[in-house]
Amino acid sequence: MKEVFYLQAVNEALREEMARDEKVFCMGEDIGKMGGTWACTKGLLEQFGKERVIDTPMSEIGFTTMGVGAALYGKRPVVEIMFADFIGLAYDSIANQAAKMRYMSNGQVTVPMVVRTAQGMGGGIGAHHSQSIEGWFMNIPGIKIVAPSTPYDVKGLLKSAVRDDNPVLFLEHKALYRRQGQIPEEEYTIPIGKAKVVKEGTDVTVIANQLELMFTLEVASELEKEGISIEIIDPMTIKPLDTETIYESVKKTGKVLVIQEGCRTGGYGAEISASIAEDCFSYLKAPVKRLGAYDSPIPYGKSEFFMIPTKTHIEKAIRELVK
Amino acid sequence: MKYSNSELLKMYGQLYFGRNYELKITEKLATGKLPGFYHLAVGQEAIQLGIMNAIGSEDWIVPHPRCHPLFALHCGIKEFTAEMIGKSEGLNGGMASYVHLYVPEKKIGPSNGVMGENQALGVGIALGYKMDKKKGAVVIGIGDGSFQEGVVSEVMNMAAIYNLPIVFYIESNNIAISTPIHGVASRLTKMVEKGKAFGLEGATYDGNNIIEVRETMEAALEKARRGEPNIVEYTTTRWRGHFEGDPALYRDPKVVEEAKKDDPILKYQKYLLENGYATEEQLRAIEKEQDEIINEAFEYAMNLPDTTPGNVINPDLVYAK
Repeated sequence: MKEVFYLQAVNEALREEMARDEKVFCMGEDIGKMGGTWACTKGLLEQFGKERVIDTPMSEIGFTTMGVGAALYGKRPVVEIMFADFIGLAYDSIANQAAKMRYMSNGQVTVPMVVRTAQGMGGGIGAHHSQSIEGWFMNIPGIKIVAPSTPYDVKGLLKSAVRDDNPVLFLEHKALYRRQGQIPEEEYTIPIGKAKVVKEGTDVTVIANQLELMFTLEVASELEKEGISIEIIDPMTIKPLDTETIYESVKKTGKVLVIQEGCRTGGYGAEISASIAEDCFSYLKAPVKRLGAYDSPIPYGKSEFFMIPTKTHIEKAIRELVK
Repeated sequence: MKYSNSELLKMYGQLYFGRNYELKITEKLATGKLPGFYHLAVGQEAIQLGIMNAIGSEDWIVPHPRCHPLFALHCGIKEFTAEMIGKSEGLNGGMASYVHLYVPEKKIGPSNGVMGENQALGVGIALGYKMDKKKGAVVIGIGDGSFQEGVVSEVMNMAAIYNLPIVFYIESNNIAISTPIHGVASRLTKMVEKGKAFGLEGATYDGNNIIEVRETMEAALEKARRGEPNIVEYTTTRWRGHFEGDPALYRDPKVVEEAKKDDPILKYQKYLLENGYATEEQLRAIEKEQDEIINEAFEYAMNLPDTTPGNVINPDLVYAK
C-alpha cells in the first residue's frame, strides 16, 4: 500500500488507462501544460503528447459534444469540466447527446465517454463554484453517475468508468483533492453500481458520500463512545443506485438517515428515501430522515458552511433517530 | 464536362426522386396515416444531392437536417422510409426517424433534434479521423438558421485550431422557421464570412445548381482531406412551411413565386437538354422509373406492422452491458 492524495489517485487512474488503451484521450481546459486547475492531469501531456491530452478553448458545450462524437467514432474520451457548476454549458452534450445516442440508434452504438468534474464546497468560492450537482443529472436515462469519496475509491472507480461502454458522469469533490488515503501498489478496479459499507453498526444506517461522509465518520466516532452503533454506507455510484446494499442495512437497523451536500429537493436523498419507503416500509422503526443543503444558492466565503449539513446537524439527526 | 452522360442522367434521377419522394410524403400525410413531423427540402434538393455525389467512400457526412432525399438514397429507400414512419424494420428500428437518424455503417449522421449539436458531433468524428490519420474527411451541413447557435461557433473554432479534416457547408435559405436571416437573425448577408472569422477559407455558391454544388464540394473535400478545414455556403429558397402543416403566413408568397423561377430540377433539366446530354424521352423514362421506386417504398413501409411495447421498452437499448 502507499499513501496518496485524492488528486494523485485521479492522475494515476488516467495515466494507467491511457497507457493500457490508446483509444483513451483527455480533453478540457488547461489540462495540458498546466496539468489542470486541480492538477489531476499533471504530467499526462509530457507522457502522451498533445494529440491525446488536448487543451481546449473555453467552449464547454463544443468540446463535450465533440467528445460524444469521438466516442461514437470509436475513441474513449475523458472530458474535464473545470468546475461542476460550468457543466450547465454542456448539459445538452450529456443529457441529449451522450445519453440518447445508444437508444436512438436502436442499440447500434455505445458512447464510452467519461465527463470528469469537480463539485462541492470547501473553497469558499461562491454560488458558481461550489455546488453539488448529482440532482441535476439523476433524471437522465442513459448515463451513469459516480461520486467517489476516498483516494482508493476514486482510482478504482475512475478506471472502471473509462472502461465502461456507457457515458459516465464522474463527480470528484474539490474539498477532498488534498485528502490522503491508502491505495495498493498493484492495479485494481472497483465496479460501478456497488455501494460500500464503510462501517458496520446496528442502531442506525447513515447514507452519505464525499464531504458529508467525512463529517459522518467524525460524528460516528464520537457517538460510538456513548454506545450508539452506526452503520455507514457510501453509495459511491449515484446512478444506478445499489439499493440491495442499502436495503440490507435498513432491514438490520430499521432507522435511516440520508445526507447529501446538494440541495435537499430532488437529489439522491429523495430517491433513496422514496425507494426505502416503497420497498422496506415494514422494516422501518421510524420515518426516513433526510439532510441536504438549504434550497438556496451558496454564499461566498466562510458562510458556505451555514448552507450544508455539518457535524452538528448530523449528530442531532442521529440522536433523534435513536432516541 | 467532367461527368459522363450516364452520371449526369443518374443525377437527374436523384433530383427527380428527391422532389417527388417528398411530395409523396405530403400526399400520404393528407391521408392521416403518417406519424411524427416532416421538414421538407422541396426547392433545396440540389445541395444535398450534389454533395452526396461529391463524397467518397472514406468520407463521412453529417447532413443539414432537411434531408429526406439524401438519407433515402444514401441508406436505402425502403429502409429509410420504414424508419421515417417509425417502423421497427427501419434503419434505427423506428426509434429515430430522420430527425435523430444515425447510420454509422453508411458513414452518415448523427442527425439531431437539437440544432447545432449535430455539427459538434461531426467535429468529434473528425477528431477521430485526425487521430487515426484516416484518408477521408467529414462533411458537416448546417442551415443559416442553426448557424446562429453558439455551439456551432465553438466547434468551427476548434475545427480550425486543430486542423481537422472538415468541410462545413451552410444551406442558406434565408429563413429559420419564420425568422428571416439577413438583417434579422444576422447582420451578415453571407454566412460564410463568420467561418472566415475563425480562419476557415470559403465562398458562396448557387445552391440550386447541382453541378456547381458537386464541383465546389469536390474541391472543398480535397482540401479537407489534406487537413485544411474549410467552409462553403450554398444559397437556395425553402418553398414550403417549416414543417408540413405550417401555412407559412409569415412570409410574402412572392418569395416562393420568385424562387420557383429558379427551380433546381427544371434548371438542371434545361441544362441537360440544351447541351444535348439527354433527350426528353430519356428524362421521361427516368421519371417513370423513379415514380415506381417511390410508390414501392411507401407501399412496403406503410404495410409493415406497427411497433409493440417490446420493441421500444428495452433497458439494453438505454445502457450497454
